[in-house]
Formats: sequence, C-alpha cells, structure tokens
Amino acid sequence: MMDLWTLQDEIVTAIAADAALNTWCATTYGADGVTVEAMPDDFDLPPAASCPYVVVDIEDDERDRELREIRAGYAILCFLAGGDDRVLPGQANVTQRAEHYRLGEISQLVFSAVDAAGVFSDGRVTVVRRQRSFHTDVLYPLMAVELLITLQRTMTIGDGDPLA
Amino acid sequence: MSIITDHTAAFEAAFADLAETVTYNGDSVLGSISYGSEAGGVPGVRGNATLAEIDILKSDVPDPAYKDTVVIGTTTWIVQTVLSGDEWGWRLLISSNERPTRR
Repeated sequence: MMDLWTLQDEIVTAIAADAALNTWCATTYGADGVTVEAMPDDFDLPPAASCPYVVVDIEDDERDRELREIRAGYAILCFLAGGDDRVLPGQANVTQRAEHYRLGEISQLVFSAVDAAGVFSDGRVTVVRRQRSFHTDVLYPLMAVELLITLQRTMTIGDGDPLA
Repeated sequence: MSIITDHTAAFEAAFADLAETVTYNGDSVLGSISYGSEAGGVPGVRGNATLAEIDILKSDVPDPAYKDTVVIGTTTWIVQTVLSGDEWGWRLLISSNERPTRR
C-alpha cells in the first residue's frame, strides 16, 4: 500500500538535499540552503529571515473502490523573502514580473529536485498532474508559490482491496 | 494670512502634538500611529504579519509608495498600501514581522 507519509518524507529529503536548489538559495538569497519541513505547526513557522522556506503537506487522500485506484495530492508551498526588485531586460513593470520570475525559478528547482531523486519514478505511483498556483495571502517582502502534485496508484485486479 | 493658512497651521500644530518622529525612507518625519491586529489572525490561526496605520503629512511625504520603509523605534515597517488621503496627509497601511503562513 502506498504510504503517503513515507512519500512525503522522501519529497522533503529530496528537496533539502538538492544541490542545484541549495546553490540557488545561496547565490540568490545568501542563505545557507533551503529550509524544508513537512506539515509544520502553523504557530511555529519560521520568520521571513528563514526563507527560502518550503513546506510539504499532504493535501488530499482519495481512495476509490470502484475504480480501484488511490489518488493522493501533495501541496508544496515555497516562500521567498524579497528579491522581487530584479530588473528584467526590457521590462518597465519590474516588481510583478520579477516576482513571478523568482517564484518560477524555485518552482522549477523544486520539481527538478523531486524528479532527480526518483521519488515518483520507481513504479510505486504515477504522477497524474503537476500544477503551479500563486499563493497570494502573504505580504511583502514575502512571496509564495504553491506547487500541487497529484499521484495515482492503480490497483491490479486480484491485488487486494485498495481500501483494505 | 488667510483662513486656509490659519487652518493649516492649526492642524499641523495639533498633528505635531499627537505624532511622534519616525524615519520614512531615511528621512525624519512626523507620524501618528494606530497599531492594529495581526493580518489574518483569528483565534486558532496565527496571522502572517503585524499591521498598523500611520498618518503622515503630505508636506513630508508627497508621494508614498508600496514598499517604502518606516522605522518606528527600532522596528522597520513596510508600506503595503495607501488607505486614504486628504489635502494634508496620507493614511498608510504598514506591516512588520511578516511570517510565512499556509492558509
């Protein structure tokens, strides 16, 4: 049976250990590296100075007996502090374009980190969908982007009840 | 002297009594501050920043902008938006101690 908590821990480990992401955090923000946590206490989240900061949550756990499949969703929230004042070539509207640029950079790095670690490529699960959405409930200097990964495991007939 | 200049002088004198000295984008100006609640903070959910409103004179800050900085005491606040304004001044929403939040 797919263990959502094990996969979550593997996602956290993959992101925390990724060399490209940690290098980007150091060169872009002067940070020691990326800070990653799984389902932290909302009352104990670190201050903005701890960014880049990534939170991995289990967002959904859907088990369908008729379709004989298990779907699970992970929400990966990436927080950055500042860095939206970058001037992009030929662009007058600096702030918002640069904000999206930075959030796009960390989004690609996080997706790449999970892929490079092979978390989803060892046959246990299939990635159904990846999507990126902007998380607006933060105030400057914080910026945030939410990455959603939906996974599926199809149960073979005779392979047992997925809800068992 | 006119009634307008008299009123302006009276207002600015009263404002000077109420306000305190803050540092706006590096310049010392007068500001009257009302401290508010945490942004998004409700019982059981921690807010993602501390909010306040500050009144400043147009003569000190003619064109306040998003991301301007206000130092009050030892704390740096950031201008998030202009709430209102009149012929004398602006009321700005400022924040400090911004924190990541998941919801």
